[in-house]
Amino acid sequence: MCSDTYKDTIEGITKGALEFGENKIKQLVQQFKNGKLAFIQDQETIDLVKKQLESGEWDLCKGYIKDDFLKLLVKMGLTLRELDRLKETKKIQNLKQKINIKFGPRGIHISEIVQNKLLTSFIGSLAKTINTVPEMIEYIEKLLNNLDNYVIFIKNTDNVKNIHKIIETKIMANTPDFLIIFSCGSAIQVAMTLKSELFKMQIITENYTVEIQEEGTEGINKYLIFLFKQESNLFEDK
Amino acid sequence: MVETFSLQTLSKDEKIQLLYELGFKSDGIYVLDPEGKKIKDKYIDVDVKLENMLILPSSTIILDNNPMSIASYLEEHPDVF
Repeated sequence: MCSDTYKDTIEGITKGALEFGENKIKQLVQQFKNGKLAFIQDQETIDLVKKQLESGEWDLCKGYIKDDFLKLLVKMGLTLRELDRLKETKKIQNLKQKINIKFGPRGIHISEIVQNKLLTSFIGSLAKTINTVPEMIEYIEKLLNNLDNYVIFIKNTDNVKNIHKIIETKIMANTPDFLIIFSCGSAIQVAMTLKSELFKMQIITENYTVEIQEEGTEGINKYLIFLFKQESNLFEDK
Repeated sequence: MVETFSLQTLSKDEKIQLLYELGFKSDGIYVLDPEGKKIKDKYIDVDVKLENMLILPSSTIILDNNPMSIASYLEEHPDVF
């Protein structure tokens, strides 16, 4: 009899717990259906996204990027940078995987140039040359949609002569309105040597304005060379 | 703005019950529609897993928990969070 009572008690508690659980779920569902509740995993991920949307950098970029695909990738670039700052390596990998699934390597490259601040550096430099917002939009979207044509990433193993040749070929073939040469870390030395060579190239000195941007809080950790076609040619129709 | 409830506080069975109450199912791993087909995150087109799902208002949107899906959702529903 004692064990029957014990068994009944346990069954009662279990049934009560299950009913409590079911009731709790029903209540949550009702709140959801009333539009008062959202089911999330963690507040951190939502806050991470919201923080980028409230940033000054996004405020700057969104004024010049109208394409929804590019807007999303810029937001992801800002998110990647924040995750990098927080040293969340696994989350970075997961997010890049998702970007790749949806948009392929092109999506990764676009978000990375936002992550490494190349886009905002470009906007800053461009603003000195371009006078109207529609033209800014045109140039920025041109960059983001054609990174391979407009950006050269220097590695520390690169040969200056080879990069020199690549730049010459791009200019001779397409006369691009701009070119960006990006380097960071140990590649900066290569870029600095390249800079000296660029000033000896007639095709550059006659047609392009060269602007250097150095970034870093303790020493230089990013070195960018911007080539902009000189003002008299900048507004030519192609 | 709505209140948020963390699904991490629910057991697996409770999550499945929640889906059932909303008209969905699960095979224990993936979220399924009433016909038993895997639900895809509408923004990144991946199958949504039970352990990583978000259930958000506005026609009961079920998403994968990641910044890209959340950013896309917020673009369409900026006042939810």
